[in-house]
Amino acid sequence: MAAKTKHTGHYFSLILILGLGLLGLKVAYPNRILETEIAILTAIFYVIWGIVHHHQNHSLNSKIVIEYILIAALGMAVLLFFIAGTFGI
Amino acid sequence: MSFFSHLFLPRRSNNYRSKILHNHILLFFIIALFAGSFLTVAVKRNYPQVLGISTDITHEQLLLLVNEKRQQNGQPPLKLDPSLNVAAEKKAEDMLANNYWAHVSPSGTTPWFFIKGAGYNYVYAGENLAKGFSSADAVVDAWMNSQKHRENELSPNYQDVGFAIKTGKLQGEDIVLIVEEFGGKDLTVVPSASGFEILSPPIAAHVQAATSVKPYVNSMLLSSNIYIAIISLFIIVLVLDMWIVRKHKIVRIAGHNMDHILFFITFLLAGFLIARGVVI
Repeated sequence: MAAKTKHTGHYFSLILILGLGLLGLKVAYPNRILETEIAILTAIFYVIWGIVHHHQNHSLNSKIVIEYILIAALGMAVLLFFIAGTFGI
Repeated sequence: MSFFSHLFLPRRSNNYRSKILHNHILLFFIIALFAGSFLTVAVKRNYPQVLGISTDITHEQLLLLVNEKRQQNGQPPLKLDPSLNVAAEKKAEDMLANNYWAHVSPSGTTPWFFIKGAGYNYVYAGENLAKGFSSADAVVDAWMNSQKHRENELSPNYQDVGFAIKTGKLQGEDIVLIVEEFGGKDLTVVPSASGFEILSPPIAAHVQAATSVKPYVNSMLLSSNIYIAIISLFIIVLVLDMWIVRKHKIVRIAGHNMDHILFFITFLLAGFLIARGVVI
C-alpha cells in the first residue's frame, strides 16, 4: 500500500513538472528564446526526476541515467528541429 | 518482417528491448536531428526556392469564411475590393520591410494611410492581422474568438474587404502573414473622430517588395510532419515495448516506458503550443 502511494506520488510530481513546462511555454509565447529555455529546463527536470525516482525504487544505475539523458536530449533535438524548420531560427 | 520486429519489438535478438530504444540508436537520432536543424536553416537561407515557407490560404477562402460568419450573425456579406487588396498588400510589405508586428508602424504609419493611399475613400475602416496560421479556417476562427477582431468581422459599417497573404521573415522568424483591411463608404454616416487621420508621405516610398517565390518544399509542413512522425514513432514503440514486456513478465534493467511516454506527449503538445498562430 505504501509502495503504491509512493508510486502515485512520484507520477503526480512528474505530471506536475511536465504540466508546469507546458504552462511556461504558453506564458512565454512567442518569445522563442524563453520557450527554448523552458523546454530545456523541463527536459533537465525530467532527467532529475528519473534519477530520483529510480534511486528511491533502488533501481538506479548508470545505464538508466544515460537512458533518461538520451530521451530528454531526443525530445530537445526533435523540438529544435521543428523550430528550425518552422521559423528558420 | 524480422528486421522490423527486431527494430520495434522486444525480443531475444535485441535483448528484450526494442532496438530503436537502445542508447546508440537514440544517440543516432539526436545527432541526426541536430545536424538536420543546421542543414534546414542553411538550405532555407541559401536556397529559398528549394526549401522555404509557402501557404495554401487564398483570398477567396478567407472571403468565403468571413461572409459565412457574417451570414450566421445576420450581417450582409462583404465584397472583395481591389483597392483594399492593394492596401493590404502594401501594409504587409511594409511590415516585412520594416520588421514590425503592429497596426501602427514604428514610424507612426497607420493602416488608414495604406487604405487611403490605395484610393479607397472610406468613412469607416478597420484592420485585422494574423500570423503563423496554416489554414484559412484557423485564421478566421482566431479572429472570431477575439472580441475586438470579431467586432471588425461582423461590423455593419463595412461593405468591402481586402486581404494580403504574404510569406517572409518578420522579427527573425519565417512567417505567413495575413492582413485584412475593412472599408465602409456610407456617406450618410458621420465618421467618429478617432483613428481616421491620413499621413502625408507618398505610399510605397519606403515599401520594398517582399520575396514570395513558392519553394519546392514547404519547410513548415516538412518539419512539422517529421516532428509528429518521430515523436509518434517513439510513443508507439514505447507502448508496444511496455505491453509486450508486461505480458511476458520479462525482467530487464531499463527506465520506465510510462515516464518516457509522458515526456514525449508533453513535447508533442509543446510543438503545438510553440507553433500556434497569433492575431492582433
